[in-house]
Amino acid sequence: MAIIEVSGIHKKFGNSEVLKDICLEVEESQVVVIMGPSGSGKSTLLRCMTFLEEPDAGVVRMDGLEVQAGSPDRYRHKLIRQLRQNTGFVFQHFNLFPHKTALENIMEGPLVVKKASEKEAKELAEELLRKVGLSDRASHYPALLSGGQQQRVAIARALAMQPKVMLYDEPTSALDPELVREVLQVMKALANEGMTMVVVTHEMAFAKEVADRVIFMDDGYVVEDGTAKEIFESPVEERTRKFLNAIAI
Amino acid sequence: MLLLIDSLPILAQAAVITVFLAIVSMVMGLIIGLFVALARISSNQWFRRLAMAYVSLIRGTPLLVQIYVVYYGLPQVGISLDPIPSGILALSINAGAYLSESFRAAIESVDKGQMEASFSLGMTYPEALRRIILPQCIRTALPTVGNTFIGLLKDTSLVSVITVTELLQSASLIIARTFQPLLLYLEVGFIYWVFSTGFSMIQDRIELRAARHVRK
Repeated sequence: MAIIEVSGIHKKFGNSEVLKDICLEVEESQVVVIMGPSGSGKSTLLRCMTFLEEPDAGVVRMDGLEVQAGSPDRYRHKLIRQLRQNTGFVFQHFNLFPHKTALENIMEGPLVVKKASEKEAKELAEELLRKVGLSDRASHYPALLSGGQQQRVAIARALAMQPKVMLYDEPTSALDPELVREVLQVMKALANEGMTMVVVTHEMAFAKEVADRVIFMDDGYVVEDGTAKEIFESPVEERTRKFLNAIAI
Repeated sequence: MLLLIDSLPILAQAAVITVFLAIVSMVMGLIIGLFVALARISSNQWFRRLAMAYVSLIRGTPLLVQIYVVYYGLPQVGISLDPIPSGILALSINAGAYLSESFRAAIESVDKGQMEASFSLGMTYPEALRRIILPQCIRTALPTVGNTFIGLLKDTSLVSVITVTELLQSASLIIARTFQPLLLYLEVGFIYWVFSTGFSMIQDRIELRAARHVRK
């Protein structure tokens, strides 16, 4: 059974429809890369999956928890928070909490949301910092970390909620080129552990090496959906070919 | 010269009242300001309108009028307060309106990714506000909040009109006995200046401390 099931997602910003009836299923432990030109709706889709953006219509089912698009009420808010707890989200601009150290950033979710004890949260955070290779930066504030380090802390912060699924919204596009690799390596290691991941990215090499599936989006539609080999070597659609040519240069 | 020294103990006592008025009104104003700011940015349009009306009314009328309304006006509808509570009430309501604007600006200046990151971990809106947004606001709001406090300290002189024996009132009482307005008013002015300057030095200290994580 699919761990992520998205169906009938529509989203409009003003008059422009950015998502047009998107359906998507992701199996457990699958790594899916979403590509597409800017404005194709890929980030919006990812944000709709945890309701950081409210879809106008559709259903999101995440690890058996179903949330419909609709008006905000108390019960629905609670469902959305539950869904978010099971779904790690990594932002393009990291969004670390600047007034907290690396360690405190990671502890925050377990402390506040899961009501973990200070000691439990700290142990977990230390273990996760080790996992992303930043044990020596535990007491640094975000302003003193490089972009790559910040993003690795952000990944650890998301992992601290022990999510079933990780969503990445262009996790490396705000980074200097020499810092991209360290972040991708952390992501790759997670994929190898069997984490279900959906990644919006333009990193072709990552997609080729790690992704089980590549989805190409354009103009609010899923244009093509296949293995990395299929999409990169023999794209069926003209639009996909054009895009791949453009980013290959 | 002798008068300056003789009047000092009495004025010092009155200065305690002045600082007390300012601090109590500030604390209450901060609480009012925080809730009004939250109402102002709430998704409920009635909360927003109410908050806007409050801020507009208070900022659009003189503090002196507000003090008269509380002290002389409210008894007509059965609410009679002593001079000091009246003064504190008027000053708090007044400061609350200005502080709410500082808070609103500070909250809005926090990157919206901070709220999103909090939500993505499963936090509720109040949790995100308390743990993530408000602590970051403090740094941005500090300069204007500090200025409001210093303004408030000086504005306490207005409650002398409702017989509160604060600094200015107590100087006027001494003048009524000694007929030395120039000397005494200058002395009082100097005492206000000492307090204002002292508090703004404290404010600078706090601002430096609050900025320590952001410095590179």
